[in-house]
Amino acid sequence: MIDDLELQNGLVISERDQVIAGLGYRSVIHLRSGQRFVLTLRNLPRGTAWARLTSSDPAIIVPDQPATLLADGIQRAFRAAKPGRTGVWATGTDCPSGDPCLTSPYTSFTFQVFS
Amino acid sequence: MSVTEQRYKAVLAVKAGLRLDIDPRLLFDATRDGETGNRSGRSVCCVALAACSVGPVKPTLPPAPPTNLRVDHGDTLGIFYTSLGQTLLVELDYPTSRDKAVLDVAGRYSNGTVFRAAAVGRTTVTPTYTSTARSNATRRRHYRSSSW
Repeated sequence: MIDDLELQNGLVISERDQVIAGLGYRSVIHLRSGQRFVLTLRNLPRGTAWARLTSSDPAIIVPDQPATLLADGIQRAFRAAKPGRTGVWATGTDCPSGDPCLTSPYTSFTFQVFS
Repeated sequence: MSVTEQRYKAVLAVKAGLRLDIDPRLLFDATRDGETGNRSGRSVCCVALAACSVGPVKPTLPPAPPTNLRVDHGDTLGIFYTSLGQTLLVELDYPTSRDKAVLDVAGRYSNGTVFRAAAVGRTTVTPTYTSTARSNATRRRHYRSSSW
Protein backbone atom coordinates (compact mmCIF):
# COMPACT_ATOMS: atom_id res chain seq x y z
CA MET A 1 0.00 0.00 0.00
CA ILE A 2 1.27 3.45 -0.86
CA ASP A 3 0.07 6.93 -0.09
CA ASP A 4 -1.92 8.99 -2.59
CA LEU A 5 1.04 11.29 -3.26
CA GLU A 6 3.21 8.47 -4.55
CA LEU A 7 0.42 7.20 -6.76
CA GLN A 8 0.02 10.69 -8.26
CA ASN A 9 3.68 11.68 -8.51
CA GLY A 10 5.05 8.35 -9.62
CA LEU A 11 5.85 5.00 -8.05
CA VAL A 12 9.37 4.01 -7.15
CA ILE A 13 10.03 0.48 -8.34
CA SER A 14 13.23 -1.30 -7.41
CA GLU A 15 14.86 -4.73 -7.00
CA ARG A 16 12.57 -5.65 -4.13
CA ASP A 17 9.61 -5.62 -6.55
CA GLN A 18 11.15 -8.36 -8.71
CA VAL A 19 10.14 -11.19 -6.42
CA ILE A 20 7.20 -11.96 -4.17
CA ALA A 21 8.39 -11.37 -0.63
CA GLY A 22 8.83 -14.59 1.28
CA LEU A 23 8.02 -16.80 -1.70
CA GLY A 24 10.91 -16.13 -4.06
CA TYR A 25 8.81 -16.22 -7.25
CA ARG A 26 9.40 -13.56 -9.90
CA SER A 27 6.51 -11.19 -9.84
CA VAL A 28 4.53 -9.30 -12.44
CA ILE A 29 4.05 -5.62 -11.65
CA HIS A 30 0.50 -4.53 -12.42
CA LEU A 31 -0.06 -0.89 -13.32
CA ARG A 32 -3.05 1.05 -14.47
CA SER A 33 -2.65 2.76 -17.83
CA GLY A 34 -1.25 6.26 -17.35
CA GLN A 35 0.62 5.41 -14.15
CA ARG A 36 4.09 6.98 -14.01
CA PHE A 37 6.96 5.29 -12.22
CA VAL A 38 10.71 5.48 -11.71
CA LEU A 39 12.69 2.28 -11.98
CA THR A 40 15.80 2.26 -9.79
CA LEU A 41 18.52 -0.35 -9.68
CA ARG A 42 21.57 -0.43 -7.46
CA ASN A 43 24.82 -1.74 -8.94
CA LEU A 44 25.64 -5.31 -8.07
CA PRO A 45 28.51 -5.77 -5.62
CA ARG A 46 31.75 -6.60 -7.47
CA GLY A 47 29.91 -6.26 -10.79
CA THR A 48 29.84 -3.93 -13.75
CA ALA A 49 27.70 -0.84 -13.22
CA TRP A 50 24.26 -0.70 -14.80
CA ALA A 51 24.21 1.43 -17.96
CA ARG A 52 20.86 0.89 -19.70
CA LEU A 53 17.22 0.44 -18.85
CA THR A 54 15.23 -0.52 -21.93
CA SER A 55 11.55 -1.17 -22.52
CA SER A 56 10.86 -4.18 -24.72
CA ASP A 57 7.64 -2.64 -25.99
CA PRO A 58 7.67 1.17 -25.80
CA ALA A 59 3.97 1.24 -26.69
CA ILE A 60 3.14 -0.49 -23.40
CA ILE A 61 5.87 0.91 -21.14
CA VAL A 62 6.97 4.29 -22.43
CA PRO A 63 10.38 5.69 -21.43
CA ASP A 64 9.75 9.28 -20.30
CA GLN A 65 13.35 10.41 -19.89
CA PRO A 66 16.84 9.09 -20.63
CA ALA A 67 18.33 6.93 -17.91
CA THR A 68 20.27 8.71 -15.17
CA LEU A 69 23.48 7.10 -13.94
CA LEU A 70 23.83 7.41 -10.18
CA ALA A 71 26.89 6.91 -8.04
CA ASP A 72 25.60 3.51 -6.99
CA GLY A 73 23.15 2.58 -9.69
CA ILE A 74 20.78 3.73 -12.39
CA GLN A 75 17.28 5.10 -12.64
CA ARG A 76 14.84 5.97 -15.39
CA ALA A 77 11.33 7.37 -15.52
CA PHE A 78 8.65 5.42 -17.41
CA ARG A 79 4.92 5.59 -17.97
CA ALA A 80 2.41 2.76 -18.39
CA ALA A 81 0.50 3.32 -21.63
CA LYS A 82 -1.26 0.73 -23.81
CA PRO A 83 -2.72 -2.28 -21.95
CA GLY A 84 -0.61 -5.38 -22.35
CA ARG A 85 2.38 -7.22 -20.99
CA THR A 86 6.02 -6.40 -21.57
CA GLY A 87 9.36 -6.14 -19.83
CA VAL A 88 12.03 -3.62 -18.94
CA TRP A 89 15.55 -4.94 -18.90
CA ALA A 90 18.85 -3.60 -17.67
CA THR A 91 22.38 -4.24 -18.89
CA GLY A 92 25.81 -3.05 -17.83
CA THR A 93 28.36 -0.64 -19.26
CA ASP A 94 30.12 -3.56 -20.94
CA CYS A 95 27.13 -4.12 -23.20
CA PRO A 96 27.17 -1.15 -25.57
CA SER A 97 24.86 -2.64 -28.18
CA GLY A 98 21.83 -2.34 -25.94
CA ASP A 99 20.91 -5.97 -26.39
CA PRO A 100 21.51 -8.41 -23.55
CA CYS A 101 25.14 -9.60 -23.64
CA LEU A 102 26.45 -12.82 -22.18
CA THR A 103 29.31 -10.99 -20.48
CA SER A 104 27.18 -8.22 -19.00
CA PRO A 105 25.00 -8.26 -15.90
CA TYR A 106 21.37 -8.54 -16.88
CA THR A 107 18.08 -8.28 -15.07
CA SER A 108 14.49 -7.62 -16.02
CA PHE A 109 11.09 -6.60 -14.69
CA THR A 110 7.76 -7.77 -16.08
CA PHE A 111 4.85 -5.33 -16.32
CA GLN A 112 1.16 -5.89 -16.92
CA VAL A 113 -0.71 -2.73 -17.85
CA PHE A 114 -4.49 -2.68 -17.48
CA SER A 115 -6.95 0.01 -18.54
CA MET B 1 -11.89 -62.19 8.96
CA SER B 2 -15.55 -63.17 8.96
CA VAL B 3 -17.76 -62.65 5.95
CA THR B 4 -19.67 -59.88 7.75
CA GLU B 5 -16.52 -58.09 8.78
CA GLN B 6 -15.07 -58.32 5.30
CA ARG B 7 -18.19 -56.87 3.69
CA TYR B 8 -18.30 -54.03 6.19
CA LYS B 9 -14.69 -53.16 5.44
CA ALA B 10 -15.39 -53.24 1.74
CA VAL B 11 -18.07 -50.58 2.11
CA LEU B 12 -15.83 -48.43 4.27
CA ALA B 13 -13.09 -48.68 1.69
CA VAL B 14 -15.45 -47.54 -1.04
CA LYS B 15 -16.46 -44.56 1.06
CA ALA B 16 -12.82 -43.62 1.47
CA GLY B 17 -12.26 -43.78 -2.27
CA LEU B 18 -10.06 -46.87 -2.14
CA ARG B 19 -10.22 -49.94 -4.30
CA LEU B 20 -10.73 -53.20 -2.55
CA ASP B 21 -10.99 -56.45 -4.42
CA ILE B 22 -13.31 -58.91 -2.76
CA ASP B 23 -14.65 -62.24 -3.86
CA PRO B 24 -18.34 -61.70 -4.78
CA ARG B 25 -19.14 -65.22 -3.53
CA LEU B 26 -18.34 -64.03 -0.01
CA LEU B 27 -20.93 -61.26 -0.27
CA PHE B 28 -23.48 -63.77 -1.58
CA ASP B 29 -22.70 -66.09 1.30
CA ALA B 30 -23.17 -63.27 3.78
CA THR B 31 -26.71 -62.57 2.61
CA ARG B 32 -27.54 -66.25 2.98
CA ASP B 33 -26.31 -66.29 6.54
CA GLY B 34 -29.43 -65.53 8.58
CA GLU B 35 -28.40 -63.72 11.72
CA THR B 36 -24.98 -62.55 10.54
CA GLY B 37 -26.38 -61.44 7.23
CA ASN B 38 -29.02 -59.22 8.85
CA ARG B 39 -26.48 -57.56 11.12
CA SER B 40 -24.26 -57.02 8.12
CA GLY B 41 -27.15 -55.49 6.21
CA ARG B 42 -27.86 -52.95 8.95
CA SER B 43 -24.19 -51.95 9.12
CA VAL B 44 -24.01 -51.46 5.40
CA CYS B 45 -27.14 -49.31 5.46
CA CYS B 46 -25.68 -47.03 8.13
CA VAL B 47 -22.41 -46.61 6.27
CA ALA B 48 -24.16 -46.02 2.98
CA LEU B 49 -26.33 -43.32 4.51
CA ALA B 50 -23.30 -41.66 6.06
CA ALA B 51 -21.57 -41.67 2.71
CA CYS B 52 -24.55 -40.05 1.03
CA SER B 53 -25.12 -37.36 3.62
CA VAL B 54 -24.10 -33.78 2.78
CA GLY B 55 -22.34 -31.20 4.92
CA PRO B 56 -23.95 -28.08 6.33
CA VAL B 57 -25.64 -25.98 3.69
CA LYS B 58 -23.58 -22.85 2.95
CA PRO B 59 -25.48 -19.57 2.92
CA THR B 60 -25.69 -17.91 -0.47
CA LEU B 61 -23.36 -14.92 -0.59
CA PRO B 62 -24.07 -11.81 -2.65
CA PRO B 63 -21.68 -10.75 -5.44
CA ALA B 64 -18.92 -8.32 -4.52
CA PRO B 65 -19.46 -4.57 -4.97
CA PRO B 66 -17.27 -2.69 -7.51
CA THR B 67 -13.62 -2.46 -6.43
CA ASN B 68 -10.56 -0.50 -7.54
CA LEU B 69 -8.52 -3.57 -8.45
CA ARG B 70 -9.26 -7.17 -9.26
CA VAL B 71 -7.00 -10.22 -8.93
CA ASP B 72 -7.83 -13.66 -10.29
CA HIS B 73 -5.94 -16.90 -10.78
CA GLY B 74 -3.98 -15.37 -13.67
CA ASP B 75 -2.38 -12.77 -11.43
CA THR B 76 -1.22 -14.86 -8.50
CA LEU B 77 2.41 -13.79 -8.85
CA GLY B 78 1.71 -10.09 -9.17
CA ILE B 79 2.48 -6.90 -7.31
CA PHE B 80 -0.36 -4.39 -7.05
CA TYR B 81 -0.07 -0.82 -5.87
CA THR B 82 -3.04 0.38 -3.89
CA SER B 83 -3.51 3.68 -2.11
CA LEU B 84 -5.25 4.12 1.21
CA GLY B 85 -8.92 3.27 1.26
CA GLN B 86 -8.85 1.52 -2.11
CA THR B 87 -10.35 -1.92 -2.44
CA LEU B 88 -9.09 -5.09 -4.04
CA LEU B 89 -11.25 -7.99 -5.19
CA VAL B 90 -9.31 -11.26 -4.95
CA GLU B 91 -10.96 -14.10 -6.84
CA LEU B 92 -8.99 -16.87 -5.18
CA ASP B 93 -9.88 -19.53 -2.66
CA TYR B 94 -10.42 -17.93 0.74
CA PRO B 95 -7.42 -15.56 0.64
CA THR B 96 -5.83 -14.02 3.72
CA SER B 97 -3.49 -11.07 4.16
CA ARG B 98 -0.18 -11.57 5.95
CA ASP B 99 -0.29 -8.08 7.49
CA LYS B 100 -3.88 -7.28 8.38
CA ALA B 101 -2.95 -3.79 9.61
CA VAL B 102 -2.02 -2.93 6.01
CA LEU B 103 -4.68 -4.85 4.11
CA ASP B 104 -7.62 -6.53 5.74
CA VAL B 105 -10.71 -8.38 4.62
CA ALA B 106 -13.66 -6.06 4.07
CA GLY B 107 -16.05 -8.81 3.07
CA ARG B 108 -16.41 -12.23 1.49
CA TYR B 109 -18.70 -12.61 -1.51
CA SER B 110 -19.85 -15.22 -3.95
CA ASN B 111 -17.20 -14.23 -6.52
CA GLY B 112 -14.28 -13.50 -4.19
CA THR B 113 -12.98 -11.64 -1.18
CA VAL B 114 -12.75 -7.85 -0.96
CA PHE B 115 -9.76 -6.34 0.86
CA ARG B 116 -9.40 -2.72 1.90
CA ALA B 117 -6.07 -0.86 2.17
CA ALA B 118 -5.82 0.46 5.72
CA ALA B 119 -2.21 1.62 6.14
CA VAL B 120 0.90 2.32 4.07
CA GLY B 121 2.98 -0.82 3.97
CA ARG B 122 3.68 -4.05 2.16
CA THR B 123 1.87 -7.33 2.54
CA THR B 124 1.23 -10.62 0.78
CA VAL B 125 -2.17 -12.14 0.09
CA THR B 126 -2.16 -15.92 0.20
CA PRO B 127 -5.03 -18.06 -1.06
CA THR B 128 -6.04 -21.35 0.47
CA TYR B 129 -5.19 -23.34 -2.62
CA THR B 130 -7.29 -26.20 -3.88
CA SER B 131 -5.46 -28.84 -5.86
CA THR B 132 -6.89 -27.44 -9.10
CA ALA B 133 -5.76 -23.92 -8.34
CA ARG B 134 -2.29 -25.11 -7.45
CA SER B 135 -2.07 -27.01 -10.70
CA ASN B 136 -3.15 -23.97 -12.72
CA ALA B 137 -0.69 -21.73 -10.90
CA THR B 138 2.13 -24.13 -11.66
CA ARG B 139 1.27 -24.14 -15.35
CA ARG B 140 1.21 -20.35 -15.43
CA ARG B 141 4.55 -20.07 -13.71
CA HIS B 142 6.01 -22.37 -16.31
CA TYR B 143 4.47 -20.32 -19.10
CA ARG B 144 5.70 -17.05 -17.70
CA SER B 145 9.23 -18.28 -17.44
CA SER B 146 9.44 -18.24 -21.21
CA SER B 147 7.75 -14.93 -21.89
CA TRP B 148 7.00 -11.55 -20.37
